Amino acid sequence: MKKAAAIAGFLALLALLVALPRLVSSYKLLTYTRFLILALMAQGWNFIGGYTGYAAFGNVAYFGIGAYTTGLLMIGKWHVPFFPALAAGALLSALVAILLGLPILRLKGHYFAIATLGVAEALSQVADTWDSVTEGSTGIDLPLKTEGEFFYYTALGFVIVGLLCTAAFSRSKLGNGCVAIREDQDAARMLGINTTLFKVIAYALSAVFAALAGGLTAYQNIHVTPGDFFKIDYTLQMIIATIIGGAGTVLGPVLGAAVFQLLSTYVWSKFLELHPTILGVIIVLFIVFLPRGLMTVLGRKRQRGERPFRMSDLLANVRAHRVT
Amino acid sequence: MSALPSPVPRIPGDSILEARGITKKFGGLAAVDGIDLTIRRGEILGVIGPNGAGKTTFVNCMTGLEKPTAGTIVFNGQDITKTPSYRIGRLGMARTFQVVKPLRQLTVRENVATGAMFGARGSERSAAQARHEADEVLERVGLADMRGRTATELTILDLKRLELAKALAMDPQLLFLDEVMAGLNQSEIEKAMELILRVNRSGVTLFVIEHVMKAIMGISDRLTVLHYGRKIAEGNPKDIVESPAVIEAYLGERFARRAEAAGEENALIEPGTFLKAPPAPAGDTLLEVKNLVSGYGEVQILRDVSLEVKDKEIVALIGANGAGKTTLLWTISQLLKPMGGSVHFAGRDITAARSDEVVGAGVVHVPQGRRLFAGLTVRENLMQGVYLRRDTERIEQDLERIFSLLPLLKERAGQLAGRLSGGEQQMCAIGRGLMSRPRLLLIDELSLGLAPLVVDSLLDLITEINREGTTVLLVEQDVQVALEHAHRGYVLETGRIVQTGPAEELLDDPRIRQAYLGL
Amino acid sequence: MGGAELGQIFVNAVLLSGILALVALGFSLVWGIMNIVNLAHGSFIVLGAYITFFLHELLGVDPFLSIPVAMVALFTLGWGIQRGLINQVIRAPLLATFLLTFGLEILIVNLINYFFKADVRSVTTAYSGTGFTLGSVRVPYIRLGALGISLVLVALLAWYLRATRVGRAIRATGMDIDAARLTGVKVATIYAATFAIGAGMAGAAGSLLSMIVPFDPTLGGGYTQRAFAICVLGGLGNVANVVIGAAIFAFVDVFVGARLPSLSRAVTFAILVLLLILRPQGVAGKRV
Repeated sequence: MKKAAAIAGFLALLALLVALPRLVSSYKLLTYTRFLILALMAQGWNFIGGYTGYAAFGNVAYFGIGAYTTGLLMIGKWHVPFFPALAAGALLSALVAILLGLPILRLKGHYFAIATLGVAEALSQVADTWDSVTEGSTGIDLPLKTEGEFFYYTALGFVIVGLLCTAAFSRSKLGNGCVAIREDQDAARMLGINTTLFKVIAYALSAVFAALAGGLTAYQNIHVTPGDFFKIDYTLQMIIATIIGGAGTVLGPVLGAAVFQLLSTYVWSKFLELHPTILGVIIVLFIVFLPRGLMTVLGRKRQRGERPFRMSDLLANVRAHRVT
Repeated sequence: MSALPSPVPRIPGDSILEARGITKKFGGLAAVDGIDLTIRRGEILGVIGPNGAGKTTFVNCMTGLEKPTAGTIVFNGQDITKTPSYRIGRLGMARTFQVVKPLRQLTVRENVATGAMFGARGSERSAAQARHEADEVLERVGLADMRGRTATELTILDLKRLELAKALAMDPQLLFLDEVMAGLNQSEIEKAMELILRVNRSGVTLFVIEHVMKAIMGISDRLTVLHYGRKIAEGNPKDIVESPAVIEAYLGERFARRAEAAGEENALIEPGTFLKAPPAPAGDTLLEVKNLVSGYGEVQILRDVSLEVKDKEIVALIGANGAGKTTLLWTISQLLKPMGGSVHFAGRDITAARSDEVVGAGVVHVPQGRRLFAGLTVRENLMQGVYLRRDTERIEQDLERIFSLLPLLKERAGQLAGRLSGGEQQMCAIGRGLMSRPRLLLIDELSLGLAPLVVDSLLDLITEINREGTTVLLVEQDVQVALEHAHRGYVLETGRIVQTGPAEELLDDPRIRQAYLGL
Repeated sequence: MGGAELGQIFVNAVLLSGILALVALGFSLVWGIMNIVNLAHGSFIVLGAYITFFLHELLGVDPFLSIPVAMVALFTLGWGIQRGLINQVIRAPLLATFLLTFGLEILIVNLINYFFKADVRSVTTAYSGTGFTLGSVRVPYIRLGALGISLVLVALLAWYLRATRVGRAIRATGMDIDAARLTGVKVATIYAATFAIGAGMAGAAGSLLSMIVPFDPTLGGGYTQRAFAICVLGGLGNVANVVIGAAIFAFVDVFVGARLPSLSRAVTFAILVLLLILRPQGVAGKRV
């Protein structure tokens, strides 16, 4: 019964999302597209950061690679159509992630986080400097495409595919193995899990999703520059969206992206100048009170008929993590 | 040591695992030192040995989690010395961890399914089949009702069961169990023994590390004793626990001599090697522990402990490994928050105090393993002991007193504490405790890993500071060391005080040996 | 590359390494003792720079004299942030502290941006731009002064950690938190002191940087990354490691900057990542 209700609700939501371009202004649609692209990035980050527990802090690198590959293939002498170009970007990102992942996924904790951050910084500067290909800081211009609906539906399609992928992943051997790595790498190894292989796969998956988001954003924005497509804000947004929603859950990244985009848009409209400041406050509050995300409020406990989430649980989170 | 002949007929002759010359060094120190060991197909091989004997390190080497510095391992006729651990798991070897390693955020069923997915027969199964297999294993170990809970919600008994279930789901031929009974109570231990026997009868060869002697004696076909990284005895369990080398390793060298002399009391104590504590003074109660319950997270270690220490007394707390001795001291010091009961010190309730308040009140804890600040010099370590003191003018004087009591420390004052030998470290740790001017000194495992002569001099020191007015609660594995120097003693077994009395009486009580060796 | 150019590179690197050591010192202390990579470190540096700027601009205080003010202000702020926020999540998973400090960085930088605008500013005094030459090598006075003050502060902190009661407790807590508790240390207080000292050092570094480079609210982020690189190069553990790490970083930075100016950051980061993979314990330090 409950399951049927959930499926009905989901289908209703889906219908609403499909019909949305007819219901809202093209400006509003842009916001929804932005939310979907953020959800896509967050879904990707969720594989490595959420399920596997590796704090990847440089996924914007793959966003950038996806954007540049897509853009460069669409212009110049090749004039590749958008979707093949996008696929090429995703493939290249996966390849780079595999090659980089093999050495840096051996690092742990802060060291892994900063190594990924460093890779993103270095790539940004390469894009900035490699004039003959990337046109340096001036950037490249893609063919113009103005139909907002195209981007909205493409992003929606990807997010739905992402949801299906994540759901399949979480039930698969691969997903199970990745979670085991997150919980305890030694235990995982003893259970027969090839930890290196699994980590690299999860990292490459996250790169593919970031690249898709990058390519799509590039086509939508037309203009691609290193400053815009390698900025750490994207990395942060995908992490924050995942954390807010619930890392290592199927719906968490999408839910988190929705909440983040909602807050962000609201704050943007009310306090234009203080916008980033308030976002900073939101991050801080979320981390202090709900370090495991919204899905802990809505998720498991309720399903199994145990006591629902109470406000006092917020303080319990704090008590569990502080030092006296 | 000569291996005793094995009389076990149930076990066929062939071996499932052959380890030759296994050595594992950390830095310069050999945790495992040239161990040869054969595990026969179908047997339960029990492994015992005091703390630091190298038991867990040995298992780490066998299962590929650590690569041995030297030696070879052959499993089912295949050399696996250099095989990565995940492949070893798929070959049919599994283990549990001493400190349980559940996949915390996952349900019990998902935990076990992970083992079924990647173990020996994992490649034959889909993820869904593995989940189905997990249900069967959960049925076998009696966890079926818990399958929907997350691992964080389990009790210690269930966590230990889960650890076993995960390993069993891998369809192992050989299973290493590392202290699956630590922290369990009597009836839980019996259940666990039954479960282990059932697993073995279903065709799994077992290598069982255990401190609970009753259990290991009850289930093992053969027994191996490790001590300081070497194998010191192997054979029939009954013969092994009677062997002097084993008694010495477990209860201390002095106790072994006493046992050997079998009743001739005066033959036991070498005269004149140490000071005997003066008769117990009838002081007021200084420390009073009532119905204390404590543990780590889900794991309850102390079940109901009550004891008292009178002013100017030396009280010994003895008990086998895993009985809860260290947990008791950690709880008194408030490094662990008690789950129930109360602790009073000098009439004041310190049950809910902060650790710095406890130190401020005069309870100073010299922890197991010394826990010196390795990167600070000896002098700095000692001076860290005065952190809370306000009487700065007397600190120099106290430092001089420590140096005169322990002249070795004066020589080493400028050295980093991490570079000291074990005995020097213990001196430094006691010195650091004394610098806090304690009214009550809690000492955890004074003699662990130290040479007898060093232990003697440390005991002299304890007697000396006691004479000067400091009350001491001494936690010891070495029964003789503890009781010879104490006024009174308590015996702790699986989280409860099982016996108490004047030290002299306890020394001759046969039940002490029972608590340790389960005879 | 001529001898004169090499000489200038050498002098520039020496002058740079002093201030970099100061930049990384507080960061290293917080990381080493509390195991927190404080991504808000850069915003503390920026705050220090603004304090110096406004004291000079509005009250005419000599920038060098404003250093103690910046240090005290940041010390206080750091204490409050540690007790009020970071201490609440210090035992949460790594990502929590990482994001929390990043959230703080965003918050502080944007508050500065909001109140003081994004204009690029610099502190200019009568002696700005003056200096002396040694042969063909130029040595600006301000940079020399900054080097001197950095070294004094580095030495002062080294002394404080070595010789005082609280300093010793800080080191002890970093080595073994439970053993420290057993000597009566109240860890929350020691952590607050550690974080506050780290922030204070960042404030001093910011004051000095404001005299050397033009700055805006986003100055700090780059310095957080430099601090991290320096800690990785030198290894955590003690003040000497920071100085060694800063010196290596300064030489690489100045040299790469002179030869491949456009790729300097990429090269520096490539070296950093390589080093992380090959020698995670740092060039000078022990494994941490």
